[in-house]
Amino acid sequence: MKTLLTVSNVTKVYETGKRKVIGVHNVSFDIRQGEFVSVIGPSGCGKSTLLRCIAGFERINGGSIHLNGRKVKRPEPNRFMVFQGLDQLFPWLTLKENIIFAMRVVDKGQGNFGERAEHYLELVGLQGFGDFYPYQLSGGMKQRASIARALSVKPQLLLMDEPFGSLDAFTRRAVHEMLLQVWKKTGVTIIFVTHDLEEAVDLSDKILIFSKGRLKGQIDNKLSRPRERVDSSYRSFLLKISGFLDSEGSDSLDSKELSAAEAKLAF
Amino acid sequence: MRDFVSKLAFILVLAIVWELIRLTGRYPALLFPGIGSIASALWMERVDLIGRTLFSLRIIGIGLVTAVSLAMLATFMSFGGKIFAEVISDLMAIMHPLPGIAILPVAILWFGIGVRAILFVIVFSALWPLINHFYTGFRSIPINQLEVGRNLGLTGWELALKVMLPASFPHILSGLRTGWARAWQASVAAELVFGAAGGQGGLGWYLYKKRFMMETPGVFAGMLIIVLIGIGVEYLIFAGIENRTVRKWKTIIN
Repeated sequence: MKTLLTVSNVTKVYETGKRKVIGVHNVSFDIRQGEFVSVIGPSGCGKSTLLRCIAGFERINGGSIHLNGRKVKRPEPNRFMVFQGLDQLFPWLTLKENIIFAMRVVDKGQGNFGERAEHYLELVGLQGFGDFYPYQLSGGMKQRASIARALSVKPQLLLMDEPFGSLDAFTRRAVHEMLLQVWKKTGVTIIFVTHDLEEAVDLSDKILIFSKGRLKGQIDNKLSRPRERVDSSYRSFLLKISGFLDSEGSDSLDSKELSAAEAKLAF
Repeated sequence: MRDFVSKLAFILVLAIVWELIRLTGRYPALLFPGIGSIASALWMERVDLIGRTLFSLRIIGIGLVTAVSLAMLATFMSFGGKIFAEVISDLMAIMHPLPGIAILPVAILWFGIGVRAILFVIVFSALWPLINHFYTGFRSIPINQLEVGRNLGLTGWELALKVMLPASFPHILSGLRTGWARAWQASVAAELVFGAAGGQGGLGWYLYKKRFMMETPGVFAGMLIIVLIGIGVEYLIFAGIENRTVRKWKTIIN
């Protein structure tokens, strides 16, 4: 698979008053076409900042981000973000209108928007809810609809910033299932930011571990799908990653060591 | 319907209390006219009253449209550039506490006695609260909605019109309500203070004339019209807009 996104030596510094806070420090990695990549780390580790840099919402202070060889400068629909907040749908539009709004802005010209909107609602399991207003939906349905809207503009990269962080555990299982199916059907590349380790292991092919603004390691997740949390291979993989996360405080682990350690893991 | 009945009952109670006070005979009829004489003044003066009302509504309409356009422009531009935002915010600090009627002397000096001076006072009175509401509305847009708009590639005017405007609609609506009330108050107050020129004038001018000639029932008739128009606009226009927008979207509580 060819490389879709190249992040090289990206640094993002925030200025809060007189103090400078480093949000992301010299981070580099590649993401291949069609991959499902999770980014994990504790709150404030810079993982959301990194995602916002990739989206183009934040200007980076150093390094570069390229999508398909083109430099990322500003927000564009080819990298579309789904946020954690349950208020990201436009409340003055129905679900269908929300999707049509997005398609119309991006496509400009004519198209069978209504039919296409229905297709995307069906994709996320919301067929029949097109005429509902956002306030009439549960949290899980709102996030499904936000994903449908994001997909409707055919992004090359779907950026997800803890999209299920506000949902309860039951709803979360259901939307995980849905997201994996959508991923399989559309082949879209996904970067998924979360602080929930199990969520990352459930979903992704690759896990990037962040701490204090630095990329601490990249671990390939080769567990076969569907993944069951009770499987022993799942448990041992989870243990390994939490081990890495715990040792991160000592700052002793760099990417190289991690991939060496990862190579020793037997699945 | 029940709402309407209860409001009607409330007005009826007010009218009865009014009549009871009059019947005690403690106040001279010249100062405290009965409802009957007010009603007959309304009927006798209907042609004049309708003309005055239409005149008032027309200049308030023109003034309000001007003020809303200027306020929108100022709000959009405050979000476009930092310098402009500071200028607007400084202007707000200076102008907002100034009662519209207080600039009437200046308006008369600049525009002479007439419709243009009244229009100036109306625009001035409505503009600052409008900017205040619009600006607050734009600043309280959920950041996620704004960023979805940016993510779609919207910028500048397009982002303002397609996302910021509808997202801040609850504030815009309350701004329009305040602006409308201020415009009404300004038009009546301006005419009350200096009258009107060449027989051209609205309800304020009508009140002024009636008071001058001690036709107290006429004064009350004019006030009644002002109140009725206020109620009418609230229930027919603003409540209608509210039901079709922010209430339907549940972006306001209640």
